[in-house]
Amino acid sequence: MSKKKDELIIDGKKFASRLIMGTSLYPNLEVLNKSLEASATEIITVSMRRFNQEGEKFFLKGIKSKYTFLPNTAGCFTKKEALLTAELSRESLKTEWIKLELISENEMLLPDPLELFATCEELVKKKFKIFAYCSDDPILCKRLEELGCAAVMPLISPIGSGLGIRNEHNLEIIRSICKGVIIVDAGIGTPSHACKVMELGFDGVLLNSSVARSFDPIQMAMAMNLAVKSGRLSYLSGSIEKTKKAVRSTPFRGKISNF
Amino acid sequence: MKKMSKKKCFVNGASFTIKSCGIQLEDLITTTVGKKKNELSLAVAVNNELVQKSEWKSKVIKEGDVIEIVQPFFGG
Repeated sequence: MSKKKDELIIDGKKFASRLIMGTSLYPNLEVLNKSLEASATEIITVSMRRFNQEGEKFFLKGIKSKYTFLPNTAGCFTKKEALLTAELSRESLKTEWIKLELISENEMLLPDPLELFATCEELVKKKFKIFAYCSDDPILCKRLEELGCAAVMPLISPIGSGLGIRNEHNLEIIRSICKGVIIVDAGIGTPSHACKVMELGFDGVLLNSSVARSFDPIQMAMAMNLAVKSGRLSYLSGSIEKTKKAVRSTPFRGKISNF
Repeated sequence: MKKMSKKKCFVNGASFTIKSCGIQLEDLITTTVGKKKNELSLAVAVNNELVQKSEWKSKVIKEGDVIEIVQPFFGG
């Protein structure tokens, strides 16, 4: 086993965990905090929303200092909205990181690739470190990487659907042509989905609904943590080649005579 | 004594009455959020433009201005 420390490096910062956790949809703050703990995550996503008492409670509940915050632009449809949200999050959280979400419609919440790319161009000029949530189009992923995104984040199926990997071949192409940080975002339903993604060689997984909406979020967070680690170890170990026929494992030599 | 006329601006989507001479953004934020405003990692936009914290005192809000006061919240 390699003794080199396996770390996720984004924007020059090192992380032991490759699991990024969303903070939405949990039954309450206690379950949220315990789930984050069980997941061993170091990066959590947040939104920027109008001031209210619930938001005040969320932010002052002691999770502020422990995690690296990744603000998102969830709910934005246009470049204009996303740019302002990014500026507000930088002012609020003193971070240049922005998870850029630009959706095109309300039913499938699919990202709008053209609006996304145009917004990325602007944000790069403004020195933001972009985590670009995008469709699983290999060329789009490559173009976003070349543009200078800190991380490219293709979906594997629609947000919150839990459908898992819909196009494994596209994911394989993305991994083969993109050399930077690629984190799968959206569509994870079970730990086996997260494990499979990591076995394909992706740098990390971002998830929310699959934990928060499960029957036992704390236990599911733990399962996701183990799945991501397991998948990563599998990828680093190099799995065997698939064959059409059986390959004997127990040596035949020395077996007693056939009779 | 001449009565000062009242005008309206909009804070987080709700109408907010101000004096005709306007109001300092800093005072408007304190009225809306309370004294905890410095603990909440707030960010503010006026008419879809970010106003940095260092400018809250000098920025005067006038009739019809649209103010958004935001903070970090749950998100995926």
